Amino acid sequence: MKKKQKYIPQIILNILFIVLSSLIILPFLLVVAVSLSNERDILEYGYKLIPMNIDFAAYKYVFDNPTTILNAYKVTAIFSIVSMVLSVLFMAMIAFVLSKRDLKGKSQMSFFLYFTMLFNGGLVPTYILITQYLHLGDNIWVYILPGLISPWYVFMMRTFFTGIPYEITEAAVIDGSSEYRIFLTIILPLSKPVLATVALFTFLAKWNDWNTSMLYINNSKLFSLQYMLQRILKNIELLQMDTSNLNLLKALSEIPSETVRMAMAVVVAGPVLVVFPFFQKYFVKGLTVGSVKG
Amino acid sequence: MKKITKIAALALAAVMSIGLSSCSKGNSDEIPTLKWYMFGETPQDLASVMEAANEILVPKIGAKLNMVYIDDAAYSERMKMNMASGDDYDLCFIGYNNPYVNAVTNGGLYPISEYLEDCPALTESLPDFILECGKYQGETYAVANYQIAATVPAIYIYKDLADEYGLKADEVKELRDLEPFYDWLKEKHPEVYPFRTGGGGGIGDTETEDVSISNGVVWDHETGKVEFAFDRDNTQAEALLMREWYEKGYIRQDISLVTDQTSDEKAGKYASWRAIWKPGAEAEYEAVRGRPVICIKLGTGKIQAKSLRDTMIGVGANTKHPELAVKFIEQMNTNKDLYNLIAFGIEGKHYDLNEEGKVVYRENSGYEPGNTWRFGNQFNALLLEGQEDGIWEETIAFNESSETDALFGFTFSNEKVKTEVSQISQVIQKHPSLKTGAEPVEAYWDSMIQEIKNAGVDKVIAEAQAQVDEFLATK
Amino acid sequence: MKTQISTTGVSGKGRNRRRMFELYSLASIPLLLVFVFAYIPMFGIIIAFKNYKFNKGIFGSEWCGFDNFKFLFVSDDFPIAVRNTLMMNSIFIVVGILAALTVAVLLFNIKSRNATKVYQTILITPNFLSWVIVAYMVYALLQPSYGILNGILQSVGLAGVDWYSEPGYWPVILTITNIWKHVGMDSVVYYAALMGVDESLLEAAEIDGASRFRKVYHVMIPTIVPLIIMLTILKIGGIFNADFGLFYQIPRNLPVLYETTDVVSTFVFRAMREIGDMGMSSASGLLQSVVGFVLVIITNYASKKINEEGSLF
Repeated sequence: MKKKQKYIPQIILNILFIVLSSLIILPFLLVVAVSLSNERDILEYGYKLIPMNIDFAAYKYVFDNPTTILNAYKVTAIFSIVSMVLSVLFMAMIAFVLSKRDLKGKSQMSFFLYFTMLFNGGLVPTYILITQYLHLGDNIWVYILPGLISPWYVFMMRTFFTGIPYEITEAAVIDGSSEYRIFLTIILPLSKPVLATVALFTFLAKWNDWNTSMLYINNSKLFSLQYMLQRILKNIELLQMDTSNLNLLKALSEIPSETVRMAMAVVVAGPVLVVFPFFQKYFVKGLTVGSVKG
Repeated sequence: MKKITKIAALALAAVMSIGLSSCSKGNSDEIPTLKWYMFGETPQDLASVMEAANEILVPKIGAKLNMVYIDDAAYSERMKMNMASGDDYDLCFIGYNNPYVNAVTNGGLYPISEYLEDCPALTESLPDFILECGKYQGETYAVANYQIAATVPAIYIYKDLADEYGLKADEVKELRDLEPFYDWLKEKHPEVYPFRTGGGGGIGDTETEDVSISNGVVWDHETGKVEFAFDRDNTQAEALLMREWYEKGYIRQDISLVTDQTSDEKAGKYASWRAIWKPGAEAEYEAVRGRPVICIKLGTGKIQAKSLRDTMIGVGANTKHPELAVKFIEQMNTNKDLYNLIAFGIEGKHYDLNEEGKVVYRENSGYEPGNTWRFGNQFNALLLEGQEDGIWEETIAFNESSETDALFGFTFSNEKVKTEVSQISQVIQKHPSLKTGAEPVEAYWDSMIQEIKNAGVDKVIAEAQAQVDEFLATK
Repeated sequence: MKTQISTTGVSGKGRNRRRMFELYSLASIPLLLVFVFAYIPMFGIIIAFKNYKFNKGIFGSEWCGFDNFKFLFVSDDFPIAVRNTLMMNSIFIVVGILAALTVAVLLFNIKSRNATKVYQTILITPNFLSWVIVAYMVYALLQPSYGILNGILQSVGLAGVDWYSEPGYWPVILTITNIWKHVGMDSVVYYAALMGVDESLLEAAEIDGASRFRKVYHVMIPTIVPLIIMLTILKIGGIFNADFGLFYQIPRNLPVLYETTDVVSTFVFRAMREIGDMGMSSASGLLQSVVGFVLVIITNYASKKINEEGSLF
């Protein structure tokens, strides 16, 4: 009897999530379907969940020059991962410090961070600083350094660290361990879920970055993936302006544009959906506070 | 501890090395180098073309050239930043993606009138209207690239449909004359929309200086009188015509929801559309749409400063060599060798000339920038394979047969009435577009006009009238 | 607190000083980064008070007092945009937190690890779609004549609705769209926090025979209250900044719908279209920051009174 009672909610919960997931996945499948459709069919009959004719033209167009897109994947992966690692480390450092109750200047430091969430000098001074003083133009570090500390995630981590019972670190303090040691060997291992969450968010923010390339990068070998894709759409327009070459114009009129837009979304999201479960592995029970204490 | 200090040290070292590495670029060169921002993809073999260009430039003007291409997708934003951050570039492309008037009023360009006086070869090579359109309140900041300059308002119709109906193009004098054709289309070809209206661009939008009334004022090009745009009969008449056509079903009924018409244009769903005419336009449309079109001109050729300002070379506000920059512009307009070098590359390396003397690119030449109107006087350009002989002469003749008017080159400066102009444009954008006819114009016309008046249009009119008067007085 | 005093008491002042040094040194790099990349450029705020000319530079341009702010306050439409911004963002904050929290708690209760993984992965996919693409989907759903939703309504005998000409529906449509896009990612945060809930507490509750609801209500929620408060305060700081993509793309910038869909960012965008003035756009940005700042100071003060741990500073 008791067993049965436990099972029913599980079934209900699962049904609920299946419905919820389909509400989300159906539109996404529509994007995939459109990206695989024939442009003419789309213009003629509108969006269909099952393509009338499978056509890879959009992907062929996006991957027309596979080395550049693959290179953009590589560049984007490199700066996303480096940013993620440095960002999580630095943010955890400051969050750890801010989680100390007895530290002088703690709220001033919090305020110092918070203030930057609301106020910023705008694009022009940042541009001047980055290009004329730090000389980060056309350099992969320009993707990484400016956004390393996000106050939002620092506060999230701080809240999490504050929730770790004092008794856990007490023993180490009595042993005379340094704060560095406590941070690295006790706090970080206990905080895997929040570290993984923040890592995921910072990774995704970088993965979707296109603005930085637009403002600071001239060398096409350093373009980010999102920017590269934006550029493909823009280039269609630019080429269409070259009216001195009618043959070129004719070739261009065949380029799919509706389906390319959708294919771009798939190209960006695809790899991350494969990577996501890697982050999820840290959201596992048993690694957290309770078990250590017990 | 060790780990952290190590990482910190690494991070710091990285920051420092980045900071230091790009700091020192020797400027031991005696000969100054002109930096020229251009939009588009950087050609692979730009270096060898720059080298060849310097061989021409150094003896001629005593300067070298460094072309910096900025990606098309970034050009607009980047130039804004370069100007705003005080970059000391010498030259830049000015045009639709880096508008001339904005650049001038924001202080992004250098006044060059006095240097132009020292370049008679340049000023003599160009027609007056090209030099005139580069002036803003009497001072010149940029030189337009001479190319097709005149445009004619026109309407395009698919030839197969027009022929099937037996449309006599020479009997169509104004838009209303097309109504019987549209009625026939509705009956025989319900699959197409008879008339394309509304914004959304496309090749050659109908926007002209007269139609763009986003600040609520227009000036009569003959008399120089500034008027409230919505008081004029033809503004209202046009809006009412669109409304009538919408109700008659010539305009698609879901037009107000359509934000992008390009895919329907491509699919051939519009039987006719308004656009400008210029030599070769029919062939362009045929190439893009895959179907022959006919063109009915609805006016005479007119040269408008607005379209000339779509492609110019400007001199940067913080340039250290304004006189050299202007001399360089002179070279790009008068020196065919230099122009064609920048536009097509090196003969025998990047392209060959066929027996007709036309350019044939080599396979993977590494230098194929295209869009040659970006670089200077386009009539210097060699012809590409497939381009008709005499196309430049034909275009020049067309330009010269077209007219400018008394207010040619006048530009309204909203500097003193920014708040009012922003208000007026808000009011106009808030109301349904007058171009679509989807909403009953009669119903909101009066209240819209009242709102525009409340937003301070009288002040804008007075300011514009003062500017027009001053313009005419100094001319 | 007591235990702390006793530990530091044992080894005296020198030890505590060393600890403080260690902590400040940990804080130094992050704070330096913030100083360089966030504080140094802040001198640019003065652009809002200047008639900014590129050739004169930021410092050389003339002061113009509050002229750049004028365009906001003379307009009759600005108050409507402000109202919509505050209203829609408040709805988003409340509904967003409730939805994310519910999803997280429900996910947490699912026994099968693999099922959880699949659901979570699916839930975050909308995060990768730009508003432009989401707008295509919403349009496919709501298009009055061949949209999916009206098709369904008509098939059950109801009249179709002209969604794109009725401003009244849009607060709901925008809320649903916004939640749809963000609920997966937002729930990740709460899910991670629930992972940090003391397992022994849950077990104790189970032994006591607490119902599922009571377990959620009495054990899980209270432990993550500080997180909820903190995230709410942070979101309040941004209450004056509406998501431009959402409010511009999804209602297709239709003037008929402005009554409920026009927000500060779309209003400023329309004003700048004609003028394109950097001083004026930075003025509107500064105004948004100041309003957010004031609101946060107030909420932070209030939350400090209620729950020390949830406050920001």
